[in-house]
Amino acid sequence: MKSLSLFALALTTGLALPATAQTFLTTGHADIGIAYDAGAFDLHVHDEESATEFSPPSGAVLVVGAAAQTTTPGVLSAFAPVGSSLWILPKTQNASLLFLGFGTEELTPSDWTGNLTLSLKSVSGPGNFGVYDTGTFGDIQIKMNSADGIAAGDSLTLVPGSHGHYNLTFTAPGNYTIGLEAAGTHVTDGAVSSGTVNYSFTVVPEPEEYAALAAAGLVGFALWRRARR
Amino acid sequence: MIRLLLIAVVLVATWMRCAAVPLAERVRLTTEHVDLRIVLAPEGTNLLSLVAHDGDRGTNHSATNFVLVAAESAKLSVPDGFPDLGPAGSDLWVLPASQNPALLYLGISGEGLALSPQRLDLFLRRVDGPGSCVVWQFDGVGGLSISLNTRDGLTEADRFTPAVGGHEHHNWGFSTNGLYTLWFQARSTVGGTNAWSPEVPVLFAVEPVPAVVAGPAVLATSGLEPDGSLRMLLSGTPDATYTVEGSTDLRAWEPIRQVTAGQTPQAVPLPLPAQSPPRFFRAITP
Repeated sequence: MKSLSLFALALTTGLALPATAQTFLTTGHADIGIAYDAGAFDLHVHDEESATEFSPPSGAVLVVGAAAQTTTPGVLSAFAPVGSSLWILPKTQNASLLFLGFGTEELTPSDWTGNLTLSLKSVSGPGNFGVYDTGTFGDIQIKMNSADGIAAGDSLTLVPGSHGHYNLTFTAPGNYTIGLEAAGTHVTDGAVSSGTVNYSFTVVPEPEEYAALAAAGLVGFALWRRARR
Repeated sequence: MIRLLLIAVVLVATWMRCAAVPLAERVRLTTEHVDLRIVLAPEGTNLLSLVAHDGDRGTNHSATNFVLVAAESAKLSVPDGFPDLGPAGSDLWVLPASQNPALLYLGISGEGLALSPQRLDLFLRRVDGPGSCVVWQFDGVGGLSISLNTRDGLTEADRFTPAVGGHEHHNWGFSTNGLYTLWFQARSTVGGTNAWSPEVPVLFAVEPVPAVVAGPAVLATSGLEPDGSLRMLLSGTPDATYTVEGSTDLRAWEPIRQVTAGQTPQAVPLPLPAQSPPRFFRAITP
């Protein structure tokens, strides 16, 4: 049930699935996990629902469902023009959407001096990507935003041994590859970094656009069939 | 130093089986990621209960054994425009929905259930404390959503509805420092049938907690322990510590043990030496 519709879409559009098929995570709780083993970071996806770890994380496609689509309000104008479509994967759990967190629970706090930084390094996709938090009194705290370029300030500060949730934004439907880099100061290994690690997201359009895409996909499928003959 | 002389009243008291654990003996949860977790047992008399799940250590504490601490640094000032949270400029100690390493990170959890109910609810039934308590979230676009608020009284609407198998974080606000007991009751709905937990008291310490001013205590005999010592029950101001002393002549008193009073009478075993002359006992404040 969880990943059926997207597999169906992939099939109807005639997309070739890679040799190691990706798993689509659509609902439930999953984390972008940061571990550190034998002197190296391990950035992965941890699906809490099936207790599965995807390392490298590209083995999982993090799905931003159609229910995430909203209209950009004034307070989020930094991410997209007010009134335009915006997909928000929220920090508060919504049963029809993926509840994506950031977990450093696999790290031993005493192994680290200070906090970790998870930086945005690249965004490849049809729109912009952003991360923000909502403060105690509702203030919007922008953590990452590719709409104004990607700079050193596009980062999250993560406490070793912790777990947190943020709001993730996307400005257009389609497939995204988001490059993230973890860095911190290890008590024995010193300053260490993961290098850029890619995460795959798919932003699902509204049902009517989805139907249109599927129809287009069927055309593509027919053409593909004909070409094979 | 004030010494209160307290009278030992001899009466047969009902043995209180579930004495509340004094503050000093509870596990202090101060900066951990802790969830109030609904436990749904597949069988047994208490189908539903509530524990504190310490996510940092992977341990569960029963509700009577912990205190959730809001440190002094949690104290904020309510901004303009949030009348549901308090008057603008008033104090509010907040355990935030977004983790602050210096503060308790408190969640509500419907994870790890032995059964799969269609729905879980956690109702706030009453609050004993010096101020008000309000619990809220902001949605992604800045909309305020209040789960619990004692400022306008408690109704069936003062509840959490945690996702089955999920967990959530809220902002927990307290208007005054001191000790608060929040009484929660969980409900699970399985196959259209509701099951209810007992009302579970959850203790919060909003710091600084004012020192407990010990009022008069009462010592009552409640029979003999199996080893022949006298079992007495001490009732006093909860969390105040008393010294129980003994004497044979009502002039020379010797300290026997210290007892911290709870919400219900605390059992105090007192040795009775063989061939002892008549002994008197009293409980005094330090």
